[in-house]
Amino acid sequence: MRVPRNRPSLNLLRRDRWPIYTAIIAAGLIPVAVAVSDRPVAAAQAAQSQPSTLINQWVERRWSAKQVSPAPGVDDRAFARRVYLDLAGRIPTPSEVDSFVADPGDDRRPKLVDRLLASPEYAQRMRDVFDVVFIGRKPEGQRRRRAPNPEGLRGEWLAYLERSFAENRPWDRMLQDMLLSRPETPAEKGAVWFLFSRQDKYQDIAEAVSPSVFGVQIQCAQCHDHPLAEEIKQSHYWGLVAFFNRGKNRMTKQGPRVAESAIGGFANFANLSGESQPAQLVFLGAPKIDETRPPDGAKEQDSPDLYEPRSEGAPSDEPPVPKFSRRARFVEQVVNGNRLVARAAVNRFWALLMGRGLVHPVDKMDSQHPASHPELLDDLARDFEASGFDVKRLVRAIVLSRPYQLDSHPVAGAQPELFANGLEKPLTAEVLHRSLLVAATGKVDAANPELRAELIEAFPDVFPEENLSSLPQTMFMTNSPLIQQLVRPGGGNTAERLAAIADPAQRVREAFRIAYHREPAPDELKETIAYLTARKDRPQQATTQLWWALLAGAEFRFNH
Amino acid sequence: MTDVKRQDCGSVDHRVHRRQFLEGMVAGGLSVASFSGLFSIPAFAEQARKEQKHCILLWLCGAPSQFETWDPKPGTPTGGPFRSIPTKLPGVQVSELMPRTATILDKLSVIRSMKTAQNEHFQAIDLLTRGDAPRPPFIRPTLGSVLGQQLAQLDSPIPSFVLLDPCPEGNEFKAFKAGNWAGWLGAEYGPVRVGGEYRIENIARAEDLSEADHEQREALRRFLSRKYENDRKSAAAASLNAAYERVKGLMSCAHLFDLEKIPQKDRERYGPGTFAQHTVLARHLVENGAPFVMVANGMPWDCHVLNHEIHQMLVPELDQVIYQLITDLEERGLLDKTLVLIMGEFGRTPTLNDARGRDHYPNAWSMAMAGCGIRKGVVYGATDTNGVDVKENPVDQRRLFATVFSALGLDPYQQYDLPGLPSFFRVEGNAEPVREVLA
Repeated sequence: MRVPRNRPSLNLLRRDRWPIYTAIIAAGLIPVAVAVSDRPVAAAQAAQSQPSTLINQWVERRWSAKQVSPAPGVDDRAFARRVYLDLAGRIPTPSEVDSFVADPGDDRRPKLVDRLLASPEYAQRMRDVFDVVFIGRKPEGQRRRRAPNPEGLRGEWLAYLERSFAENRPWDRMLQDMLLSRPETPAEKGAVWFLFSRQDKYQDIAEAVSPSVFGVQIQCAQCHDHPLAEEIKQSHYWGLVAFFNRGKNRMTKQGPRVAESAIGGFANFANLSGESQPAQLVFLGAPKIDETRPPDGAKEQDSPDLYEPRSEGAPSDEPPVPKFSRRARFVEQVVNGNRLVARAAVNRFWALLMGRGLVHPVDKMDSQHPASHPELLDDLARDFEASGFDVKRLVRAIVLSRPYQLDSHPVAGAQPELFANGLEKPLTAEVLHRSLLVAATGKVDAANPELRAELIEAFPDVFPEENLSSLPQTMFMTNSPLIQQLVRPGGGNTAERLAAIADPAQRVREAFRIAYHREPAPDELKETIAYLTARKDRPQQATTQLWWALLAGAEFRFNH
Repeated sequence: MTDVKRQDCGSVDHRVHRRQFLEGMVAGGLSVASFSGLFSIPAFAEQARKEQKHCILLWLCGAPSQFETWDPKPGTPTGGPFRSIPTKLPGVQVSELMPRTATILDKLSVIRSMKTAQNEHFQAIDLLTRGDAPRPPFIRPTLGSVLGQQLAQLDSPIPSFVLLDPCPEGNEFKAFKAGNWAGWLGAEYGPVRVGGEYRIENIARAEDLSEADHEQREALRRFLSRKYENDRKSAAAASLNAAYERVKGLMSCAHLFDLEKIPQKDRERYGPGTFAQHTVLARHLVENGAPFVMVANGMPWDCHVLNHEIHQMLVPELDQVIYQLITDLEERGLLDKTLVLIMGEFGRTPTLNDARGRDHYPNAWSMAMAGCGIRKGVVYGATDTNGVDVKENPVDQRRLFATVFSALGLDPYQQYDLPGLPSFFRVEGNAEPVREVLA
C-alpha cells in the first residue's frame, strides 16, 4: 500500500516487463500510429510520452484477450472537437478546426494538445471540474447563507484552483494545501476553503475527503462496517473524522483560517449492536497513528506548551500550530506516499477524459469494484508518483493515447470498459454554457452568468455513473427564454449570420460546420432543406428553428 | 391491448416491435397513423379508459411509528402516551391520533406484520421502493416505474410516474432521489418530479413560436438526434431523446399540475400542509388519467428525538389526508380502480432512546392499503404484546410487492426478458401475495 516517495518506479525499468516493451516498440507502435490518423502521427510523439505507451499496451492486451477489434482512429475534425471540449472546456470554432486540419505536420495532434494545456482555458476547465469534486454542487442561495463573505472566499478558492492547474502544481501539493490549510503564501490561501466551507462539520469534512482524495465513499460506514467492501470499516469513518475534529474556523486579518486545538476531539462511536469504542487516528490501509488518550471523563488542560513557538514576525491573530497536529499527521502519514491517492487521481482524470473510470464509478474504488485494467491503473499511478504528481503529463498521456483517439461509433461485442471505441461524455453544465455561446455568438470568450447558473441547476453531474437525461433538462432546452435568446437572430450573432445566407443548402452546411464541425449527411441535408423551404415565407424563424434543432440535439449534448 | 402491454418489459426489442407495427400500419394504408391514433376510435378509447388503473403511494419517508398509528399498544411498557380508539371494524383499534381514519377502517386493509431486514434508511428505501435487495450491477426499477409502464395508456400525455415532493432535501432520501429510479426499464420510466412551489419550470412555449412550429422544430431535432442515436447505438442519446419525447406531453397537461385549478374547498378539506396539498393534487392527477403518483415530503418521519411530540404533529395530518383521499376516490367511483398504499421504509423501535425518540425498526411494523384489488376491512398479521416481534403471518417486501401487483391484475412472476441481463422476475422467489387482503 505504501511506497517510499520518489522511488524511480518507471515500469520500463521492470525487468519482467522488458519483453512486452520490446515487442511493443518493435511491432506495436507504428501500426498504432497509422490507425489513429489518416496521416501518420510521428513515432517520436509516442516516445516522448511514455505513459501513452503504457496505456496502449494494456488496453490493446485486453482487446486481444477479448478478441475485440477496436474502432478506427478518429478523424482530425472529430479529434479537434473532442480535445477542445475536454481540455479547453468548449467546442472549437470552425476556423480553429480548419487551421488544425490544415497543419501538414505529423505532430499536429501533440502540438494542439500542448497548446491547449498551456492555455488559460485548460486551467478554467479543470477549476470547474475540481470545484465540484472538492466542494460539490450547492445551491447558490445555500452558499450565501452558510458562510460569511462567501463570494470573496469562494472567489479565492476558484482562483487557487485555476492558478494551480495553470502552473501545474503537483497534485500531492494541492492536496496538502487543502488538507493542512495552513497557507504560507498568499497564493495558497484559497485552498483553505476546502475545510473552511464545511463550517466545522467534521463528518462533512470526512465525507468530502474520502471520495475526493481516496476515491472511496464512506458514508455508509458511519453506522457499521461497509456491508460489501470489507476493507472499509466503521473505525475508518470515525478515524477520518478524528483527524479533523480539532479544527475551528476563524477569520483573521490574513483571511480565513482553520485553527487546530492540541487537545480534545476524543470521541467514541457505537456500532449497531450498541457496542461503543474509541475513535482512533486510522484510515483505510494506513497504519494507526498513536496518540495518548486521556482516561474517559478526565479533563485536559490546554497550554501554550502544546503548541509550536510562534515564528518571528507572524501576525498576532495567526492561529498557533499544535506540536502534535492531527491534520499534519494525516497529510504526512496517511496521504503522502499512499498509493490509493495516486490511483484515485489517475482514475479520476481517466474518467474525465475517457468517459468512464478504470474503476467505475470513480468514487467507489473499493474491493467490490475491481479495475477494468488493474495493471494499467497500477502503472499509471506509479508513473504519476514518479513524475512528481505531474497532472499535465498525465492528461497529455491520456489524450495522446490510442484509445482516446478512437472513433466513437460502437464496435461489435465491445463493452464500454474495454475502451475499444470513444465513449460519449455528456458536456458538463460549464462546458455546455461555453459551447452554446461559442456556437451562438462565434466568440470564444462570451459569457452569460444567468445561463450558466441555470445550466448548473439543470445539469449538475460531472462524473455521472450513467448517462441519463432528465425531463427538466429537456424542458429547459426546449422552453427556456435563455436558450430561445441564443437561437434568435440579433446583434450580429450566428443565427443572424445564418439567416443572411440565401441558399438553404449553404445555410445548412454552415450551421452544421459551426455546431458539429462536419458536413451534413445527404439525408440530413435533404430533411433540413425541406424544412427551410417549407418556411420560405418566414426565413428568420425557419433559421432559428433549424439552429435550435442542432444545438438541442444529441450530437451537441455529448462529447463523442 | 392490455395483454400486449403486459408482455412489454420496456426492452429495446419491444420498442422495435412497436416501430414495426407503426410502419406496418402505414404501409398497409390504414388511416390510423400511430398507436395513439387508435384512441381516436371512441369505443376503443372508452374501453381503455374504463380499464385504466392507478396507484397512489403515500410515501412516509423516514418511517412512522406503528405504535402511534396502526398498531397501538396502550398500557404496555412500549406503548407510549397515546390511547387507542375503536374503529369501524369491531374489535380493531388504532391510535387516538387517527380518529377520522378509524371511521373508515372498514375500507382499508392493514398489515401489522411487516418484517424486513434493512434498518438503514437508504438501503431500506431502496428495498421498499424496488421490492428487492440490490444485485449489482443491475438496477431494479422502482414500483412507480414498473406500474407507470404497465398501467399507462398509450395516448395519455400525463407522465406515467409523477413524484410530488416539495424539496430536493431529505437526508438519505435525497441521496436516493439522485439515483436511478427506472433501472433497466430506461430513463423514460423515471419519475417527473414536481413539488414545492407546485410549478414546473420552463413549461410555457416561447411567445414567438407557433404551436405548429414548436412541434415541427422538435420533429426536426428528433430526426437528427435519432440518426445520431441509431448510428452510435447510443444509450445516452436514447435517454436524451426519451426525455424530449416527454416534453410535449407534459406541456399539454401542465394545467393539471396547477393547484389553483382545484376548488378551494377541496384543498381546505385536506389541510394546509404540503403533504396534504400534494395528496389532493395526486387525486386530481389520477382523476385525469395519471397511472402512478407518489406523494413524498422529504424525510420528516425519522423521529430519533421526541418521537411522541413529532407524531402528535404529523399523524393528525396523515389521518386527515387518508380520510379525505379514500372518501374522495370512492365518491368519484375511482377507488375500485386506484390502489392506495400508505407506508414508510420500516417502523420504529418499541423502546425509547435517551432523546425520547424511537429508532429504526424493520423487525415488526405496519402499513396500510386500500382500493383496487384490495379486500375491505382486513387486518392481517399481528405483533406480540409489546410490539417487539411479529406474532403471526410475517410479510416481507417480496410478499408485499406480490400483493401490490396481484391487486392491480399484473402477473407478479412475470420475467423481465432483457438482453444482456440474467433472469429477473417482477417478484423474485415466487413470493406469495397476501391473499387475505386481496379482493
